[in-house]
Amino acid sequence: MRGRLPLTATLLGCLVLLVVAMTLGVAVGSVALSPGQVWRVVIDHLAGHPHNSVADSIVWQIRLPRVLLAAVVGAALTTTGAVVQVLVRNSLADPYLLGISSGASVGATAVLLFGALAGLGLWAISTGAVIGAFAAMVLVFAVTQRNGHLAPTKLLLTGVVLSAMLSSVTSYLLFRANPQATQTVLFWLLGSFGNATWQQLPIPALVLLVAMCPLYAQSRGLNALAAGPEVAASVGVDVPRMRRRLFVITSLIAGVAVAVSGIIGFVGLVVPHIVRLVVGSDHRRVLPVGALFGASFTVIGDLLARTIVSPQEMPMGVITAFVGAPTLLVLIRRRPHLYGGAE
Amino acid sequence: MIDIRSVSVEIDGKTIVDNATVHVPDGKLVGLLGPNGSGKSTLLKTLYRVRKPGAGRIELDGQDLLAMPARDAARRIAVVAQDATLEFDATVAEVVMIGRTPHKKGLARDNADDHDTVISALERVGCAELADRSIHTLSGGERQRVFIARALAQGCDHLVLDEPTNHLDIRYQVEVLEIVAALGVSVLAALHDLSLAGLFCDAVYLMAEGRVIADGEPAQVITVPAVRAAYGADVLVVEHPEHGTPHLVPRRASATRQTPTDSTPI
Repeated sequence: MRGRLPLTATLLGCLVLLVVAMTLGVAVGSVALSPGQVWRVVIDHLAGHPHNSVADSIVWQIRLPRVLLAAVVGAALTTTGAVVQVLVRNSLADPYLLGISSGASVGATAVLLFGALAGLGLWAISTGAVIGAFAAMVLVFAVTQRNGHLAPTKLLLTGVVLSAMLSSVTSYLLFRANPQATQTVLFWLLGSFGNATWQQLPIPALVLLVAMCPLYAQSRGLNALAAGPEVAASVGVDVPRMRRRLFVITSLIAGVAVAVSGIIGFVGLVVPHIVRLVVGSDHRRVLPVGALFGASFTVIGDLLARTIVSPQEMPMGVITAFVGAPTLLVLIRRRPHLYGGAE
Repeated sequence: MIDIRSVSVEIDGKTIVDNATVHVPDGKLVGLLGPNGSGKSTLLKTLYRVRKPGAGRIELDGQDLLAMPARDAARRIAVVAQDATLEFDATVAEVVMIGRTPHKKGLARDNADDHDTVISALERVGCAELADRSIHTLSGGERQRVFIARALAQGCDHLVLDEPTNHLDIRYQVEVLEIVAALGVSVLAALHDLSLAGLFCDAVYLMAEGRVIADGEPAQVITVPAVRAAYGADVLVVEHPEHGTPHLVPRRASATRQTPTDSTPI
């Protein structure tokens, strides 16, 4: 189509951006490394003969898993954000809207404060978050569905109301806890990749890869659904079934992402908007470009989170909201017809 | 050919469409008339499977529509529905390309055929030059024509239109119906404006409270008693001075005519 960059060129550009962002993410820090050093360590490891050096342990043990996890979570949040926006036909929606994040918060807070699931060690927080997220998802689904139909407005409203309720549970737990524990919980609630390890990577990466396939395969259906449920039905899409599927898939991805990173706000809201402005609304472009761009966005965000107030770390959610909110405001001002200001 | 036979639809235990039978011959434009809430939209929704009829049968060229898989049905019958809200930005060509959905497997890319179909669909509604414009920048009339092009891109012989002239200025109302009447496919259109229906439709069905209360050529159906029965409105029906079709003239409660005179002081 004229007026748009070819998809391959766009994807290639995003891939280059991601590689640069990730290289920077690994190279920059309290011990600065050159991109060459970074890649040498990576290549050595991939070739199977790693060297025992300081650079090696910094790159391979500390920074690389963190950067990779940031990339996976960024891709996951952007993908789910774009899909949830279509699911509820509202461009203000984000992956946390449907109660996932607040459910995860209750689960993680319970683990952090009361040592629930302590037997699971390192995995306790993630497991608590996943259980909370999925419990919230089931609850939202159960309240909203009627004969298997998920009405978008009802879904949105149920998600918002349930989130408020679950947030009050989290607040109550925090209120009852001691101040040190509260600090830990607050840090988790605002999102961070500070505890990233190689062990955390496979599950979210696998979930994202596996879940991307059915979403991508339904891009045409997503386009039709974005144009309206009746349009989708008229071109042969089984709308109720598609909505159920989208709901379950996005909840799964978002739940797993929240479990490993806490609640990183705004990525899933802003990045799909930026991507749609650049590549249009065709989800065959939005999904792959969004995944790559979202990954770069989060990797750079994490880099800022580590370096801005070094040696301390800022929570991710602070960075993403601080960068994301003004970006969205600019978009709203520049493209009023997209945001209900044309009349 | 679209054959709706004795179709009834219930929503939440309430009968919305009651034993409706509508026949659309090949290549004809048939109007579905009736006041708000008479069941027009609901009846149309059974044709694109948003509503399931509780009773009755729907056939396309003799084939049972309701037994067809959704994708197959979407290759036979296309719809321009009423929900024209646009949440996301898209170019006109992208909007029309949505019409190709039932012809494409999951990951199949758009090929030259698809692009040709999109362009020729846009040409048929006179919007070829709009292909790269954002759908948000179009006028109401242009937008409606683009939605018709999307339905045409489905490559169907049957078309359903739910109030295609709603919210349009008179110029666009006529323009859209001229285009629809010239398409040469079987069209069933719910229409609000009885005079326009009289002007363009080959046949009309008049609905009231879920039932078809009259059908036939516009001149036979659009009559003073029928309009009173269906709409509860007291109107005059005159003959269109150029086309001889029925034309509605609304009346005021007081029947006295005020004759303007040249000497009326301003």
